[in-house]
Amino acid sequence: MSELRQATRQTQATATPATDFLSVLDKAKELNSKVFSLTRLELLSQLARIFPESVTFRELKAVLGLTDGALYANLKALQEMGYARSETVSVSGKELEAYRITREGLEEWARVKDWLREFASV
Amino acid sequence: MKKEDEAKKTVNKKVEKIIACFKALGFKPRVGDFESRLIAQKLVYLLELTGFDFGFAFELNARGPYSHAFAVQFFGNRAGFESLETKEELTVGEAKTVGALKEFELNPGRLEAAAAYAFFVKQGLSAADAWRKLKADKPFLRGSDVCLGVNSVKPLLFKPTEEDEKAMRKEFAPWEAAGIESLRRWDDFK
Repeated sequence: MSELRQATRQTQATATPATDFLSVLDKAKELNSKVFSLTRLELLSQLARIFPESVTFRELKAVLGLTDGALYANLKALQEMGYARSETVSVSGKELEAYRITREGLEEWARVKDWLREFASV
Repeated sequence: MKKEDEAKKTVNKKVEKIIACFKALGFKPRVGDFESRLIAQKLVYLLELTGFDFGFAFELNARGPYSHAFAVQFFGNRAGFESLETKEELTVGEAKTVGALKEFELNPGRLEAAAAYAFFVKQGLSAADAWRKLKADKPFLRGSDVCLGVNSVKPLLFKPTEEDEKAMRKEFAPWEAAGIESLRRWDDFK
């Protein structure tokens, strides 16, 4: 076994839980802290699940149980961050607002999920 | 590589069959249109409920029962779906089965209600609980669409067994006989 590999194994064996926890916390710097609200994470999750399709405002409201104001404000924030896009669609003759996650939104959501999994496993 | 080709052929055949079903229903979708995609998703779900095996897994999300795999095929076979050109034909039995979905009149609200209700029942909810969940999850649907959608999907969900049919025939036989007899006597009376 190479000396480097041996040294790495020794370091890993002696790493304390606090060190792991801190290093995971440190990784959070790479993420966009503005998505870290339960509502925005739920929104990203719902939109990512249905990609490449879009979801109407009324469907999101029914699923998340939010007020119009809270939902609109959070969707607007995601749009401003470039993670979601809106479009007007027609269903049964009614014009509705629908939202779709962007590629950037999908990438950020993937990063956030990975980090959350790592955080939960510490 | 051979296995991949076989799998691709199978999916293509199933997509062609779906196109044949859409044709039979008079549904010419526009892949770029939200409402068309909604109708397509719900029709495929209900067709699978009637017995077609397209192999698309549906899961519940904000849009109700939804298949990502079908969405990929729908976007990927735009020309086929929009032209309704297909090598597959429906058998007499399949055409009859598809005909049952004509009741929905391609109404997106009714299809959405029907598909969501059916999904909840298939998950194990009672008819009453499925109804309550439908009303809670889709409060924006018109009451008439919900009623019509649920009423139209119930025959697809709650099919009588052979035993049920036997028992019903036994129960109704005297009434039917009495009805026929009274019609005969009416003719004599006339």
